[in-house]
Amino acid sequence: MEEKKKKIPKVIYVGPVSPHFIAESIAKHSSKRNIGAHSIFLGQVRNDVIEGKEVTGIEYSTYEEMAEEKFYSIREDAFSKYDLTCMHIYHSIGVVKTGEISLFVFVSAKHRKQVFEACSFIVEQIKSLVPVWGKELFEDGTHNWKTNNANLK
Amino acid sequence: MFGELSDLAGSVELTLENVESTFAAHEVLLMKFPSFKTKKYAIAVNKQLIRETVILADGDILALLPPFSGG
Repeated sequence: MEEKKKKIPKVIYVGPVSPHFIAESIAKHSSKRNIGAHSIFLGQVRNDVIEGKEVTGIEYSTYEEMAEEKFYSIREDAFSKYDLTCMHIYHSIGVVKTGEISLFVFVSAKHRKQVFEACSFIVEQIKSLVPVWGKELFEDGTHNWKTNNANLK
Repeated sequence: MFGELSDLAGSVELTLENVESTFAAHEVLLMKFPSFKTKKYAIAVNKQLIRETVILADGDILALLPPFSGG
């Protein structure tokens, strides 16, 4: 376990993030007695209707080497900007069905202000800087490439 | 090539020979895949986004990145 500190935590997670995994992550923090506040963001796949067809899931793909580097620098930035105790980020790749979780951001600190701000900062940074693409899948087998605007400045 | 561009190209990866710069590489790609002309994307060389033409060396990895849509 000594090595764990130096290892860069991996963010990319195959398939949806299960509520069970989230619960376990929360439970693990009970031993960290200096924490006074947690903030969690969960991104859930939404059933948007596009040209009359309902989205049944999103298939995420990534440029993994670059994405992990970006996640790492977002993590470092957040740690230097805010006084945090710990931080966990998981982003799905592969198919995530509507109603399932594709992004899990979990920050902890002594006080609430830090975690609210850090959580929001991290989520916005992920949306704009990390090379991940979502392909919205429809029931009839067709798809649409999702676009979040404002990331090609 | 990633996201929608891999769909349009029908492949994810290819090797380009005798391209000196990102500009030249991009020209070759547009010849091969004219449908890219109507698409928006950024270019990265060895995982770094570039804003201007960069001279390429052997083994450099060029990536075409459509607008991100993670989260």
